[in-house]
Amino acid sequence: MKLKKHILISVCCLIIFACSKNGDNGDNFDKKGMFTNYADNLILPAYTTYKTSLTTLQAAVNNFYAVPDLTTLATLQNAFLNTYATWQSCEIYEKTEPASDEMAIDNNNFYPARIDSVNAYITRNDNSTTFIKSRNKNDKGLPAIEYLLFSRTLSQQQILERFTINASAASYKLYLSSLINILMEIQTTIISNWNISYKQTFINNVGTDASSSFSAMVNSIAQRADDLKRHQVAIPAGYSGNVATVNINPTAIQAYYSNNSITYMLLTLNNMKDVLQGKNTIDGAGLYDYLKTLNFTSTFGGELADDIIAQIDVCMAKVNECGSDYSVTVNANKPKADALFLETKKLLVLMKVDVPSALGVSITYTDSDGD
Amino acid sequence: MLKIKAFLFKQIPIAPLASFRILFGAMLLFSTVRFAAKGWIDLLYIQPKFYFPYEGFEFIKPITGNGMYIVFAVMIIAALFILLGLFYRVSSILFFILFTYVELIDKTNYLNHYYFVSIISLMLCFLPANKYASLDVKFGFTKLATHIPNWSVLIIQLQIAFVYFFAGLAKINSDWLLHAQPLSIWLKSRDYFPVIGFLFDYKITPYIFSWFGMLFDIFIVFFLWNKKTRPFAYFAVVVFHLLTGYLFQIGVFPYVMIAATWIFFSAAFHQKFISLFYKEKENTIIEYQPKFVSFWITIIFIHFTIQILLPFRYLLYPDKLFWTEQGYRFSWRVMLMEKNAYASFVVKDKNGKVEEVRNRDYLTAQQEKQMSTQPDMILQFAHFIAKEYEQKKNFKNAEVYVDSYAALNGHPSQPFIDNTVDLAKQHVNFAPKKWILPFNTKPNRNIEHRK
Repeated sequence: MKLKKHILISVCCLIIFACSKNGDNGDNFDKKGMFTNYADNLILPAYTTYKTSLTTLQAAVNNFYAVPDLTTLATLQNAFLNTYATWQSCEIYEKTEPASDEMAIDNNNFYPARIDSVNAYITRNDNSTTFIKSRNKNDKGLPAIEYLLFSRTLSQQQILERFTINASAASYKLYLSSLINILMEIQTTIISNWNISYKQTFINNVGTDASSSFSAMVNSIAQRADDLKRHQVAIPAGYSGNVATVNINPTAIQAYYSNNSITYMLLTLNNMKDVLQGKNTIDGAGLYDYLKTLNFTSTFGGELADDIIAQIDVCMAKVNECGSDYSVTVNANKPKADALFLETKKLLVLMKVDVPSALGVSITYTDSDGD
Repeated sequence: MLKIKAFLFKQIPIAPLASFRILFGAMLLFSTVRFAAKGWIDLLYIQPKFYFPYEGFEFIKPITGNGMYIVFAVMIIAALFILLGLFYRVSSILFFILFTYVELIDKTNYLNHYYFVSIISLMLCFLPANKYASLDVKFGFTKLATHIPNWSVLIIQLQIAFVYFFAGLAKINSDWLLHAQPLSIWLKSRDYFPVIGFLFDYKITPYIFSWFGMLFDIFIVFFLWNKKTRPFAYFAVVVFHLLTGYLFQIGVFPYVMIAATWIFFSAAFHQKFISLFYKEKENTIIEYQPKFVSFWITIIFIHFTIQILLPFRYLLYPDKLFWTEQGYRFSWRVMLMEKNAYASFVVKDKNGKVEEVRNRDYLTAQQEKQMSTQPDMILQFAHFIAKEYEQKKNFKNAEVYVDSYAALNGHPSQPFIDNTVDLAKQHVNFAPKKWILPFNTKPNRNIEHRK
């Protein structure tokens, strides 16, 4: 009798349990699966691609040094452009631990390069890797390499001569090699830190506190949106805020010497969309998909996840209206830059305010108490 | 009236107060050591370049060099001495002054339980908590007492009652009760927790938590006061605080409250606790009668009157309290908001120079987060920026504007501060801040869909 009663109660409980769980949306979202997708499908492939491109770049440098002519120079320049382009997909993970530990952005892509000190290093004899590594972020990384390999005023022949007949040719070469070595070293460290231990931590840390992977990803993307707005768009245009009047700074654009600023803005935005959607070779789960299950209203009044993607598209449209050289846009077609700035700001608000609010993610890294 | 007087002044055993001193002292010691061990002295009181002072306390600044470490070292020793009841008067006064000094340095670090610790440690300065089970008595620094006036324990209980009751009262708002916010967001994000996590995927769960939390806060003290319900109530206190401590990042707060509510137990209970490690040979009754009683009673009366009024001062300000945060602090409003904001400052000078401020050049991540959600801090930062740009960047008559958005408790983000107002010209005071844009109560779509 007693046993029957127990069974009856258990069955009832099971039924209630099973029923009430059905028809509820949002649960059963596989958070670990999402972070696995981020690690395996997006972050590590981006990192590895970048590292491969650095290897190719190193080889191109060696070929160029062996046979310095216009052909090997062009090959080298192309290898560099490929490297800089692949970097654009890495920059969005800055707040993940291995990247932030290595200060990946500062070391790889702090622009504009500080020309006076870069020039000073060129004429210096000792440009060893150790020496350059200890230098300021303005004097190294991709922007410095770009400055050595490209010019808006010199001909290809003149660039070639930097490395051949120039009095400082040897120093040019050593500096260039050192710059690439440093990037290689950093990238190797980042990848190995992911593989040694961080990957498991990243996948398993599905909470929302300051050290969680949600926090790392949301903060990373928000940081990327902030850098896009500030460094790629605003500073060259001389803003600040809504009012743009003075101090335009065309040479402050990203990739000024190779004139790829616009291309990289598009790469950035496209990549941001992919990262949100968890899409690379596989179309896996991303923050977009998780946000969808939460069904939140954005600042625009639409559904948050879709509004973010739509806003990225709006930004891309505005980039496309800026022409092919952003340093010209900020001079000759300022309203286009203004319009782009306003849209990137809206994107930033979505990423920095609406998304953390929907997820309850901590936007800081300080592990402080609340109450 | 006479009855009340008799109740307040009747002599009761000192054991509850002595036992409270020991446990609370241990709590102070633990939390201060923990604070130092986490590296927060450096992070919060040495690294920042700018601090957000409380209005009227602008003169309070951190000590440079190793000064703040010394402050904390003294605090740790003082907490230990409070626990031991050694040089008690000096230790308790030192602890109160140093702790409160540290809290007054930067609004960023405001927490209700720090405020609570300040109040209780102030009370301890004036209470004869070292007259029993203490080293002071053992060494003859103070005379033993076995009995004290009832009010010396009652004021601590009353203060704790205020904390819970006002925390409960603050939960009676539409976000908390009708939309179960911010718990809906917070619990949902914790659905991976072992054992109980699956519950957080149900939409009803945050409602149950919200309503239970409100009822708990409002009524718990009555159950603690009642002898019959006390053991169950204290058990509930322990479970409730441990659960919230487990779920949310609230540091030592749960333990502070578990230690503090200890004082509601009976004298016999505390006597038993103390006898575990301390045997008093004296078995005659030695009553302690404080001097200047009417003076102290007046002070206590004023204190609790202020305590009642402070949480209601928000009524003097327009618009939603959580949005403007005018009259938010010092009111026992805990765990009520999920608020995120973005604030981008623009400085202009009369010659047309314009620059967007990079907040992180001047603020830590935590400061930036707190500042961007709280208008009074936005204003203070704007004033700092104006001065900084005038002095270091050669801006003439700097004007400061802020472009900001904030999202509160699941409501979509919306413009926060009027970006046409020059904040450099707005005064820092307690008048309503007219440049805070009105809150649009538009609910989130996931709430509309639920109906």
